[in-house]
Amino acid sequence: MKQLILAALFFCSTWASAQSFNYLTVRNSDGTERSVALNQLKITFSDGKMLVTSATEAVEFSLAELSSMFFADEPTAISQIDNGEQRFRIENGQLISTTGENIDGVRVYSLDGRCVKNGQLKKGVYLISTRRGTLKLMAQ
Amino acid sequence: MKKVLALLLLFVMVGAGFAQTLKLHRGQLAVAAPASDAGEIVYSRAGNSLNIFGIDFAVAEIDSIVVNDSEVLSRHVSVIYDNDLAWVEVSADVASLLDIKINGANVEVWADALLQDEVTYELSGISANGSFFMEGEYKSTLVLNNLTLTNPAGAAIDIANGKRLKVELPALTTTVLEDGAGGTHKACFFVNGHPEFEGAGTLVLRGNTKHAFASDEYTQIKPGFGKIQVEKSVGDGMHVEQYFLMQGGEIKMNGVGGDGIDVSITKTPTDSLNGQCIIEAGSIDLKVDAEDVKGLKCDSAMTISGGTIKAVVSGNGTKGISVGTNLLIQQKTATATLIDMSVTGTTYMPGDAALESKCRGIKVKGDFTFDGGAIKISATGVKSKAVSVDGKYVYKSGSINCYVDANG
Repeated sequence: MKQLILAALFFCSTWASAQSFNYLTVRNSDGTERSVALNQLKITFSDGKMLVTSATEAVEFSLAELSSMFFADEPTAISQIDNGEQRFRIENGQLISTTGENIDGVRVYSLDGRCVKNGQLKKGVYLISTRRGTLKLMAQ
Repeated sequence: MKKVLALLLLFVMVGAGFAQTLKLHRGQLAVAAPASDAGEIVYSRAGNSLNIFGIDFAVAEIDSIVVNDSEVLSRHVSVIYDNDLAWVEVSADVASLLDIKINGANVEVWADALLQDEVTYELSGISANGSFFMEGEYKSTLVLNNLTLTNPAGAAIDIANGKRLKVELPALTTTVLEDGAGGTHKACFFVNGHPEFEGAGTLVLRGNTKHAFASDEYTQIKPGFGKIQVEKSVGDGMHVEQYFLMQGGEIKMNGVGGDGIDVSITKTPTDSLNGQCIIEAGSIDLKVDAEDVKGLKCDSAMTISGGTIKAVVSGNGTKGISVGTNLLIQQKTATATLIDMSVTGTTYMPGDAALESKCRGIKVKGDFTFDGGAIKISATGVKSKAVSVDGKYVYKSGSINCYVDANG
């Protein structure tokens, strides 16, 4: 019996190592990301575009703007650059709230995941991690 | 305790259902891998190229990429024949080392010399106009899974790879191979290396140009093997170089124009067991009705330690068993040794000094030692003999119902 249990545990551990995903996340060269559920996922290409279809949606991407894609457990929280939302802006290397919200707990990361000190934000794209989610913001 | 075990097994089964496979389709070829192995799929050249599994693909050549719950085996190539088309799926872990060419239902695989892992090629489906060719420098496995394949223009299966080829016939499957007539190929099923047959399935061969099966190195039939049935062969049913080792299974032949099983000495004299035929178990059932041919023939020694050899030897000048040097028949395995023959043929080209050949149940050019088992031969053809031995006949044990014509 012990041997059977050990064998079962071995198989369990083997399968546990095989990760399963729920989403395909597509990343554009400007850093924006878009996740599509993996359910019946199919990707086709035509006319300079990549069409990603799943059981629930169909999303079109411009090939010229694609950077990479990868499988993920969770959908990306970053749907687009936060210019329209206007919660934050970057002036003179400093992150500023445009709505007056407290930014003490807000962290700023570069696209490669490094935490960047507020006040030293140069021109580029940053991930702004807040309690309400992660946003992407461009320093002009 | 049982509940714990049941839960664990349930977990295993549920987990098995969550396999996620990414398949990249390009024409009739698909590259597949577990989604977990895909990593980051990177685009380059303004989105015109993507790198996946370490391989660059031109986006314009990709028909689709899908993710589904199917499973992909590592180091695996699946070929599914569908009439005039063949659909090939290769696992990504070996895709970069295999050059796969598909033309309709004709599939060629050229393995890179850098390939140092055994690849399994699994063939299934039906085509009346297809073939499979494989070249490489590393041992491999060929699974014939209910395949029905005819190639009117050449060999049905041609394995140019000179290494060990495990030929697996899954239980309860039947594979039928047939080649075209009037070709220049050596066999309907040709293996340049050394095939080892295993699995309990059935392989039916129809050779319309020369041999039904041929290997340029030894052929081994492993214990528990199913059946090889040669239904037609212009030349030999099985033409084997180096040696033939049978440890189980069944071989049945009729409609053979040449020898049934012909074992030849290779061009390298130092090859082990060169020219020998070794039968340890299993059964061979031969209908030898062509003129001046042999049912079971080898250039060198033959050792039968178990198993059954049945032959109906009716062609003029034919031999049921023909041994180039010495023959040893003994009882050394768990399978009973039985030689059972009916010899009804007469002399081929009588009076022709160069071509005359007499009908024999067993013809031994060296010595014959009988040490166990049973020999039952009925020789009724004019001038036929049951057993003819050029050298000495040594009897130690066993039952024999016929006269042995020997020189000592």
